[in-house]
Amino acid sequence: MKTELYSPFIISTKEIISQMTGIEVEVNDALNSEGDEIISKGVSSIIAFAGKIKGRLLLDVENELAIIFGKTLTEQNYTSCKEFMVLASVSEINNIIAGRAITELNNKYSLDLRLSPPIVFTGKDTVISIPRLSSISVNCSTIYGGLKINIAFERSV
Amino acid sequence: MDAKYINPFLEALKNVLGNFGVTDIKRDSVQVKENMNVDMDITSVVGLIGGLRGNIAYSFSQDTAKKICSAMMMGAQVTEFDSMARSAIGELTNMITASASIILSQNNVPIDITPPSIIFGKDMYFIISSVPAITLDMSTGLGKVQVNIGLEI
Repeated sequence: MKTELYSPFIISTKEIISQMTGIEVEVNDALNSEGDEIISKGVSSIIAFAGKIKGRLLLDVENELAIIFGKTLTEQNYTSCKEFMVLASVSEINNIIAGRAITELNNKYSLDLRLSPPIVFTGKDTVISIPRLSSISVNCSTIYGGLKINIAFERSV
Repeated sequence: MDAKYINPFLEALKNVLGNFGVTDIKRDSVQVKENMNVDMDITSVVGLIGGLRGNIAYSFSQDTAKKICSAMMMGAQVTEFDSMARSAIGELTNMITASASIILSQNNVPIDITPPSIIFGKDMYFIISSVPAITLDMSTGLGKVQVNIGLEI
């Protein structure tokens, strides 16, 4: 898959997190292709899209960083990543990241992509599996903890 | 939320599971939830775009998921929830949602669906929609299937 389709998501992740929370995101490595099982770091949000192609963006955040996101966006203190506003903050950040990346892809390649609403979840020993889609991951770090973005595309039948 | 948006998913669930020989499918309870605390191990989420925007999450216990996979594979024994079983559950939820989307299109609500994501783990908390989701507990001959419908309408 062409890297041109992935890079808007990576750029958008860095810029949106910096703009919304003031936290700088460092991209640790190059694009890694991922198997069909991804072990969650803590709090994960998935936003799917469809148009001329289909796919989804996974934002996977360590618990401590998710709590910081919630704290920064709502100016409240949280102790658990299961609190509603912590989950909602990760979900909203993912929504804005995906929205911006999709707009760029639509403008450049006329893909007519539209987003489904984001889902967000946390739990114990969580594994995410997306059968039939090949995906790539990028590991990133911040001073509060790590995060991973995973992008998958499927050609529309 | 209007029943005309909910019923196609129930009808599709009954039809698709029925095609695999699953019987006694009926609705047990309906609840409205802001965030879902799922006590079942496996959840498959499919997104909706177009005339309706939202997510549908189908939750199963591991035991029920394995029994359904076995029914889908002509009775072949499924002892582990491995990549083949995950793929089967993904395909099942894709078929149910696609079948519901056909019924909705016939009712002048055209929708497109996104690829399913399967999430498994213990003590899961989910938010699938910015509006409260409707949770339907469906009992089937192979165990409980929970359908969570989060539509932003």
